[in-house]
Amino acid sequence: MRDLNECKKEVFKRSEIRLKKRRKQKAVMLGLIVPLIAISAVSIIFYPKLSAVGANMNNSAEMAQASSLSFQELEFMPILSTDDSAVILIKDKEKVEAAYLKINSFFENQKGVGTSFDSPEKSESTVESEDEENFQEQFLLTFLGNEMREFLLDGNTLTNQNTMQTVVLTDKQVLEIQEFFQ
Amino acid sequence: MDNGASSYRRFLSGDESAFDEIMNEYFHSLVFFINRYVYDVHTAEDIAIDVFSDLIVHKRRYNFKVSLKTYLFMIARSRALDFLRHKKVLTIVDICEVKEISDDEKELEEIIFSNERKRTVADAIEKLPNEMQIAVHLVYFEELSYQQAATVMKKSRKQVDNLLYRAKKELKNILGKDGQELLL
Repeated sequence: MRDLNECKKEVFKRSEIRLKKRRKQKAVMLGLIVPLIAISAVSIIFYPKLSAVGANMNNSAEMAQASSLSFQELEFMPILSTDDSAVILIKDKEKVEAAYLKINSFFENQKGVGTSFDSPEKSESTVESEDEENFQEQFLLTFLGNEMREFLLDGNTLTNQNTMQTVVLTDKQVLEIQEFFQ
Repeated sequence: MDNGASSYRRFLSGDESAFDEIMNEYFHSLVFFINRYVYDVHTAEDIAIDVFSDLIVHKRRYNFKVSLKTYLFMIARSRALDFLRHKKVLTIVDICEVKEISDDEKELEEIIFSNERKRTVADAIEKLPNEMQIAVHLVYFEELSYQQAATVMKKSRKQVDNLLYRAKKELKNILGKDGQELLL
């Protein structure tokens, strides 16, 4: 058996070693945690800005695509109407393109005041539920030219039939669309 | 008596001699207690050194809710059980070494049990099942209360009560008529 003093020395020696080991581990942990926190902070600060830049780039790409399209005709057709005379056909190229740009702008500004973005599934269900009571207010807007674009105006809901994007319009915006056909 | 808590407080406030006091007071009884688990004085000594080293390394871990003695025995128990859990290799011990070890045990017993009466009881205790040995050791030799012994052994007070009742019965059988008065 060891002498008690010898054991005391051993206790202090072991404690010293363990404390050194702990300090080393702490230093390693700090060395890892500090850069991690820095990276997270940088990503939190800059990610929204980067995503905004990305969104702007997407918007400008859409704008560029929209401006490259040229439409000659616009057909305004009330759905479920059996009356052929209810279909309005606009052949004024300037007016057609103005209508297209106007409608397109509603989708581009979908995060703006008065408009909101719904998923296609939700808009479909809205169409179904409103079908029965409000079918007179459903219109199909078809732009014809080097390409074809179709929009469904269902009450205040406007759906791009090509992309299935949906926006809920204000009454004023609905009137702005209807003005093209008066 | 606060079972070392005031010494530990002094140690925390920078008085190194207080740690010596704690070691003088509890080191040997801790080695003897650990030996009840590991059956090897050298290993028990090694574990006891680690237990005291714990007190220095994790200074704020002891929260003074139990006595320092109880706390030390709790760490000792868990370290001894850890040792047994991680002990994978069976070592073959030389016969001379066995003699040496048993001499060490006797030396330790002499340090712990100053009187013959306690030593006789201690010899009888060796024949008890391990759990009973530990309960008897904590209550009769370390003079811990039933509750403190239960805390160290991680058992309920009732369980310790039962263990001690059965241990007493067994000891009476082992010690016979002459030894019965030793238990009183």
